[in-house]
Amino acid sequence: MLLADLGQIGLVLALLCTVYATGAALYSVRTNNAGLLESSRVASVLPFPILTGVCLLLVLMLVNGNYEVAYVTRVTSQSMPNYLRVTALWGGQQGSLVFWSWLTSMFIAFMMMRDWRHERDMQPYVTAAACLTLGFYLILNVFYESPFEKIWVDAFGVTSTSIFPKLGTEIFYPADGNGLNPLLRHPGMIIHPPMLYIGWLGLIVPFCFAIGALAVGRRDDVWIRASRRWTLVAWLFLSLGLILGGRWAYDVLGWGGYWGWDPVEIAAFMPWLTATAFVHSVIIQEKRGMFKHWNMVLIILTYALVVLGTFLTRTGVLSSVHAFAESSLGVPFFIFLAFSLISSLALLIWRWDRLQNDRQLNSWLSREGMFLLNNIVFMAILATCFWGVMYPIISEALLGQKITVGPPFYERTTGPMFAMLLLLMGVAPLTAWTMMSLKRLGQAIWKPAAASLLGIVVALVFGVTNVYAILGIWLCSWAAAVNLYEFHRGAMARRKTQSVGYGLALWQLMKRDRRRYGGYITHIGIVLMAIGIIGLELFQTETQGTVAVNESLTLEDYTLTYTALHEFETPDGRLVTAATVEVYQDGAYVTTLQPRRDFYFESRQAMTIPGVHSTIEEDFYVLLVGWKDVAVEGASFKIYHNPLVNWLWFGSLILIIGIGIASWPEKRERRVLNAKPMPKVAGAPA
Amino acid sequence: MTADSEQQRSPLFYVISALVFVALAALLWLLGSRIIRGTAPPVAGEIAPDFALTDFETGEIHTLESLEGKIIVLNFWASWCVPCATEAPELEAIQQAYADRDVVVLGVDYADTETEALAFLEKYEITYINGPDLGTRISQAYRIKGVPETYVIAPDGTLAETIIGPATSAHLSGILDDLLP
Amino acid sequence: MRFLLRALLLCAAVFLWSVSSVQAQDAPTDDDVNDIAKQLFCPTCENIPLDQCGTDACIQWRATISDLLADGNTEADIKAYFVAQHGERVLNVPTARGFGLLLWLSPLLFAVIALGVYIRFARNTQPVKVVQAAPVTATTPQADYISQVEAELDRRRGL
Repeated sequence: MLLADLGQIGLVLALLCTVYATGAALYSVRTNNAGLLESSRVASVLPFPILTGVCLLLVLMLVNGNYEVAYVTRVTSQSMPNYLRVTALWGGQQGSLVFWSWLTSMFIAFMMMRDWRHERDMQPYVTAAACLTLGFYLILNVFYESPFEKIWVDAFGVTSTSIFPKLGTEIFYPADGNGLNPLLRHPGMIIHPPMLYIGWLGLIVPFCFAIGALAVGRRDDVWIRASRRWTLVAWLFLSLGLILGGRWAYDVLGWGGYWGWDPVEIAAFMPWLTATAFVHSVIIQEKRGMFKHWNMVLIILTYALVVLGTFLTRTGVLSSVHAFAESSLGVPFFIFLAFSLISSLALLIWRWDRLQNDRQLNSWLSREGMFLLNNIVFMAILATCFWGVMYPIISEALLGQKITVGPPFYERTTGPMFAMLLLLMGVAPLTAWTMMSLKRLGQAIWKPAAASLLGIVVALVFGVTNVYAILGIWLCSWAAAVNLYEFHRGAMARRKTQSVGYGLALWQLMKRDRRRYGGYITHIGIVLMAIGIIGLELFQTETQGTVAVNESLTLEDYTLTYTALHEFETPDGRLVTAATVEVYQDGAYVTTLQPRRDFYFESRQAMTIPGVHSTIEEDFYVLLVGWKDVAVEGASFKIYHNPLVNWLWFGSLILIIGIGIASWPEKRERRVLNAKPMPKVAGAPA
Repeated sequence: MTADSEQQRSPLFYVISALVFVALAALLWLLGSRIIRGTAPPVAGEIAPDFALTDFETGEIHTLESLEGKIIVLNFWASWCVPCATEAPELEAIQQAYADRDVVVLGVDYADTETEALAFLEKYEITYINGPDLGTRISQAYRIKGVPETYVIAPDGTLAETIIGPATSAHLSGILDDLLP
Repeated sequence: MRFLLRALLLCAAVFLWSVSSVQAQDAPTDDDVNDIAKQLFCPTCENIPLDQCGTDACIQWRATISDLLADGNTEADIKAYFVAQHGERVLNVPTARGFGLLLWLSPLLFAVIALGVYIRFARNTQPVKVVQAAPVTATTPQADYISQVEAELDRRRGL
């Protein structure tokens, strides 16, 4: 028997486990059979070890070069080093779908292995929701897009691919494969998809808990508390995945930017929007017992957007650099999307009355009011992005006319909304729970407000005259000032009451309320990123020109002098054409860069790798866009001057650290969570 | 308790729930229709989508109707397309061989620039009818994946053959001979 | 037919323009071309703007832009030319006309809905009952804040 068959058997076994787990879990509710429930739990954990084996098997075949397997031929080749062969696991539709299922099974296994004693009533439904999801992805793996299909050849030399041999064919062993898409060979690209996948799939956990809570009609926030850490970790990876994607685009795609408002990018971004709204609004439910319906809506929406995003990119409904080739997944994905959306929304509407809020909004200036506003703005951004992505599909369906909705639409429409979020980020931390008067807010706000004016002064000193830029920079300094002020205020307060030093006070503050202060650090990260985005969006300049050797191009205060061109082949099958350019700033030599173009023989694709000179203020970004005979005409360069872009990357780092702090486990938490009396009696309705 | 809360449900609740499901249905219809219609090119047996091709030379507009009763070889090409250059002489050979037998070869110039397109036609001495794919309407109707692609349309207006990639004169004449009486 | 008319008009305009202005023209630079290419999308390069796309088709398109510029066409002329040739899809955003208006107006609609939802909630607020008012010990905003921080930290500890 072939290794590939073993893999296929593994997939089928995992699928059977999920089917059994779903059935047994639901049946155990009817029969009240604890043994059956326990067996469904075991069955829901089992796909994880099975799929781990399946993935290892596939990796083994990729590294071994088992080219009789169609997937191996498609994504690897003899010239590829081993680490790339391993990452080819997610380099194509079928493999990445298996990888996707494996990650799903991992989250489900971790979720099911927790201590369920106190949420026993929810357990069957959580199991069912989780295993239905995993089961669906496994159905795709087994019946539609299996990476274990082999290549068969008949007597006439015609090849075909399938799991089982067709009559009169025998297995075919190609000598070499096609190789991985060169765009996917960059380190950034190697980790970008797994990060995104972890982020998206981690969000299954809060969704399953939400479905469980709805199914049994619990009105407390146990589902949120139980899944809180998962939500934050998933959100961390999702943010990381988006940022790495941006970094990859900046380093490899050669267009001087990090975000192109491509439909697939937006499809990845939309769950982030709802997840971000969710991590904010669950705080209100935990602290005040409000927004119960809203949190359900948000998590259902997040889950649906993940399915929709996968659907759009994996079925060829959207086409883009990120999309997989067209496939047969359309119909099953459509059914699953319709089923999950309709059933979870129907469940929510059925349980609507059970989810009574414990309190009502007392003041629009309160913290709750600010969170509400924050959520509404996030939803407006989501609606706009969604509309932009769907609009070409609508236009084609109704008018038969293809159109493009490109960056200017999103920039112009969401720009003011993001500005609004920055503004809120600078007001919300100062407001108190329940009640806040304008007068009290004024007292709290004047110091950071005064400090934020410094931002405008700095902008003016640097000669910024663009009104939008000044407004943006003010908003950034405003949000930064308020969030930093919160640390200061807290530390000062503690210093007074606990008589400890300022540094220690800060440390204790952070240690004792990680989520809150981690959140503020995250905000500061966002502000730094916003500065980078403002710099690149409003002040990026570029020029393009063809120069002969020893001639120069000038952009801003930089001069580039073209000195040489080298062309050589590499052992991994590339023809590299690299130009050597010297960079001068204000006439003084700065550095030597080597922008290059890699041409991959196997896939006949070229990649443009920029040469970048990075400083804290700006990037000088050089692309080799074309060249003719060196002696005659010289080479063409496109140069970008990207002000402040490194603030974006630096801010991302702070953001990640902030989320990390906020989601770091606290020792007592588990015990505390379980010790909560249950079911919690909600505040009596008025 | 439930009786209490039942009373609290306002008509607005039902209206909004209904609206949500209507919006959901619209979204699903949209995606569903796209899946059913597919994004793949039409195949043999389907009714050929209509088109209006404006002749490069004469400005005359050729449609399915104006060519009724003839076998149409509809070829999508572009001057920047490398395989199209090897394909062009093959199509020209078909044009020469079948010119008097109710066969029309039409070249649809996709996403091209006029100067280069005309130069291409001159270089390969093309005599069959060619025109730009104005507004990329024809390529959209045929949902082409790239160039070259060739569609053979039978006299009754159905598609007889879809050829993705370069067509050869041998392949085409085989199809045409089957179709011709 | 409309295309031909358009092309004729274009030619006429170019002719008149070149006759009326005898001033010497510089050849358009790459930057001039990129300024326009940035706003266009070529069908062979889905979702990649024309100035960044490396396909042979896009190289030809850029050359055409350069030719049209050299002939004295304005940015609007060139965009109109490409729309006539290859359809609305070449523009990076649909023009705010007809169906395209729906695209541009919708974010405004979303903003209005968002505002409406917010106002509905904000107007429905219930003032805090007297018992829940700030503790009597809080005399200054600073002292008030300190007790608030401590209370919140304690709440975290006790959970």
